[in-house]
Amino acid sequence: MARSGDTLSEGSVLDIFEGEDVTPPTAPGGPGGGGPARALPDEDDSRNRRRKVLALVLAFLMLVVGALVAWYLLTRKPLSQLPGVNVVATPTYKTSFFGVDKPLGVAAAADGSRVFVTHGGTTPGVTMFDRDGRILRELELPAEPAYHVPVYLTVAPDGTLWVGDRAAGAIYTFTPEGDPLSTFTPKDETVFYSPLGIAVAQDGTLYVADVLSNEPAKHRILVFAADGTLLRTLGEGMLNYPNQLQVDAAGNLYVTDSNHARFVVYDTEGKQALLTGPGAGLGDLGLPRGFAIDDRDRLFVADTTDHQVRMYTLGETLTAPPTFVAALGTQGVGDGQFNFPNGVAIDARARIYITDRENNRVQVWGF
Amino acid sequence: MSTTKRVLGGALATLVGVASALFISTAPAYADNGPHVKVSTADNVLVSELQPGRCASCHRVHTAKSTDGMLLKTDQTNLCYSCHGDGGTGAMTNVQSGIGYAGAGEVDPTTGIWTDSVRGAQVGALRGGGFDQAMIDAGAAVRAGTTSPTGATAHLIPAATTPEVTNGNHMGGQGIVWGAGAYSETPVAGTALAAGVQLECGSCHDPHGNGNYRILKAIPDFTPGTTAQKEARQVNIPDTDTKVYTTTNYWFAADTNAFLGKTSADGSAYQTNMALQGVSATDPTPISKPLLTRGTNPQPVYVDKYIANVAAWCTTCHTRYLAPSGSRSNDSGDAIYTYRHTSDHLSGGEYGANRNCMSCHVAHGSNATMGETVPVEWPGGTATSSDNRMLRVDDRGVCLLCHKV
Repeated sequence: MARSGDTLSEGSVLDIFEGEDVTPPTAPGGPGGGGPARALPDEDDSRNRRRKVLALVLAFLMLVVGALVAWYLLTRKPLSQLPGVNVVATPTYKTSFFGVDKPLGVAAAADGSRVFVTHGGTTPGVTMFDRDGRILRELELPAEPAYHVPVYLTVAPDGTLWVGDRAAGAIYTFTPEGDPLSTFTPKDETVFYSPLGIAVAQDGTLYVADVLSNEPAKHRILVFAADGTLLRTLGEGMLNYPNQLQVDAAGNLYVTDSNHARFVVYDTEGKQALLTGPGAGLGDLGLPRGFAIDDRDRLFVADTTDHQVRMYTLGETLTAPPTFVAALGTQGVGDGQFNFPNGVAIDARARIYITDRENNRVQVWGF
Repeated sequence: MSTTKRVLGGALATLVGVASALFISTAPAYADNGPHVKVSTADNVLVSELQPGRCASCHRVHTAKSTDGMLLKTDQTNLCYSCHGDGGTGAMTNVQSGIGYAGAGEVDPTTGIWTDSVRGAQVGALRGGGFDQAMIDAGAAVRAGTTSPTGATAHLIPAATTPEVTNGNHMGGQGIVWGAGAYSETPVAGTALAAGVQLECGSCHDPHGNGNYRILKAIPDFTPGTTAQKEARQVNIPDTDTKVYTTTNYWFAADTNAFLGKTSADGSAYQTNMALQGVSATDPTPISKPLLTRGTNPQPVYVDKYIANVAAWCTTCHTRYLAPSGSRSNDSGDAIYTYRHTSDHLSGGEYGANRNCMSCHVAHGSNATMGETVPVEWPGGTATSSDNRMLRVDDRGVCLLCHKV
């Protein structure tokens, strides 16, 4: 091993790769005695090979560490969330955002820099937070009609914010910074809705949970093309106050069928499958409202009257029942406790945002 | 038969009986018009369908958070608000703020029928007001004939005006059941709710459904008297009509569909828009007539029995307010409720319900203001109050709605 004061040429590292012998001379009186001694050729070769292997291993490890650092900086996910690592961890309470009256829906920018929360209290509206829970602004809703009840909202793949307004029967879009953009207008002017959940697919397809009718049998999912053309209607006669929606990359649509206490999925053909439903067991649903699915197929459902968020992992096939993992939280007002949780969102950092309605806050959970 | 066989037979019969009882007891009960059952419409009649899994929305057998019916929440009101509150996403009615979603449609002014596929969620004021806010245009209604200040299209007060209820917190707290008790109990005017007893949603409504209008309990909690007296006073108001909880004009007195498919006493069909009193359904101008007066319609106005029965229902608790025609000149024998304004027509006949409780009051909460304090007789004495008594109009302007001066 080289020690302090030993001479090692500047090109020694390269020499290692070139297979040159850079063994420092043995001090007089050292092992073997006598004058300067050189290692035997076989030993030199062996040593060189070990050094090469060691160097390669070190280089590989540096690459891995570098990749991890880069991955972490880019995604800011916990290391337990590495692709391919299949550890079913459960999140824990981190912090809360305050300043909202009866928060209902929540949506987060992919990087978590902006969190949007609808609130249904005395003056319903939409509040924008930064990643640390500071209120940045109250989003401006159209002056007409005068009364708004925004419930669920979503951040589209292009970063725009879409807000459903149940009372106004309208859907508004905003820039990622919360500036008003437009009101979505169906091409067919005879198509109306009173939206709860909304979802936007990668190609711009818009899904709207419509509870306009006072007959639950007429509740439905409207599917619009990006240009406002009504493509199809899903679920009529099968839903009862569908709440939050989420569409995956393949175009499958997940829905909390709230008053049926079900969580269902529609495949790209529009066929409905029940994933989990009502019951009194730990993994059963009482009154599901909002939900979120992350990129690891972990599902979080807010069961509002049970004051918990249920965590599952989706099945290997689209219609396979999810596997129940844990129930997050208990009823109460303390950290990690809920009083009627409603909306759920998750960002790319695996931070989970849960509106805690009667506690007037948004809880943030993480891994 | 040997003793052994008899014992075995008895044991087997007991086993079968117990098993049958267990099986039957686990079969879910039917419920109608409850908020947690599926409701479908057939021939304009609401029909409830079995939804056995819905129990878990509010109850847990083993993991309940409340001793009250194994509810998931200790506070019954907040549980109900999960669907019917400001944050509710499972119902058409928000009783917390007194607004409702009238559904996919509006009243056709020519037919009076609530039609589908018409623009908008039709947010409107709940007829019963609200517990925290009430979107009632209480200040404008007294000025009969004027245009509503909320404009031509807005039919309720926007939340920005903060129309908080001004009748105090009568729900969720202790108080006095005004006018409760028999006349012989004079001069006691009311019965105070016992300590620890609260007036809650479930005091008046049956969440499991019972076939009654608005799932009202036939015998509400706190109904005074003996069991026999309560049962004799119970009110059943069959609910067979499509519900319209809101109104695009607050002074629409009744569900416009209440008359659909019904036949009047003389055998003729009701006019479906009878409750509109000849006022256009799309005209936001408050009408100058009281609720369900005879109006100017050339045909006789018959009222549906349930409207008249509302008075009977309210007075299951507030017994001394039940005043038949002629009460204004007949001494009831009560020291306080001696002479009274007519408040009912239980027969539901012609012109019958033009003076029921709901003509002047709302059930949940009103934002009407009272500028004057008045002495109110109450058990043991009097007290001054500026409480609006859940009246619909500011400063008892309800009087002027009929008795225009």
